[in-house]
Amino acid sequence: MARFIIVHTPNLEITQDQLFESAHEILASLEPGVQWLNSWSAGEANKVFCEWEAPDAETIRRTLAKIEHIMSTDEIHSVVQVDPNLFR
Amino acid sequence: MNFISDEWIKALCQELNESESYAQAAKNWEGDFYFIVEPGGEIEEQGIFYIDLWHGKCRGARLIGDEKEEQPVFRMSATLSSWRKVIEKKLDPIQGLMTRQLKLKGNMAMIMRNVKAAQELVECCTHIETEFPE
Repeated sequence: MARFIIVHTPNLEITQDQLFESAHEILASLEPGVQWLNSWSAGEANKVFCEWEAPDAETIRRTLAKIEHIMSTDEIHSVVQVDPNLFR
Repeated sequence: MNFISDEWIKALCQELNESESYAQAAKNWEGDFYFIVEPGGEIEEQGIFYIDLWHGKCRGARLIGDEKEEQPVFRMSATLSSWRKVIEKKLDPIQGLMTRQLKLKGNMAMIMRNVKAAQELVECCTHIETEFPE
């Protein structure tokens, strides 16, 4: 399964309930083979970076369309993990 | 010092005013808070702290008897257990907000954009010798 990093911009008017409920909505609607693995909030830059596993970017885009009004999906990048231990 | 007391929130106010790190991190912050300890377990009635935070300084703080006394921009509420986790740095305040362990009324994005100020505020809390209700 491919790994992706997604860059989001949260809506500046977002409420805590909207954020929480949209996260639940996403988790409840994941298609088979899709996993939301992790998220990092860069609050000062108003960005959220998420790590996903999915068959392709289109599947992620389809899933995230539900919360576009809460948190826009700016970029989806297919990535490969690099283990720093390999450089030791 | 007992956690839910006027003495405690005033001690926090003093710590904030003595912290260069907080002053720097919160230099653009404008907004007062209610920090509300929800009833449950050892807590029979809710405890409400009012704290007025303005450009890196605490302009005043006190324990409130009636929620109608002030109209703060932000209201953050949680159980005693969750507040304790935050104060003891076992729960990051931003993570607490995102997972609704700390409930917020007010602009979420404004808080998210001031992560460093929130973390420095928690750091000041850790300087107070706090006794929690058992």
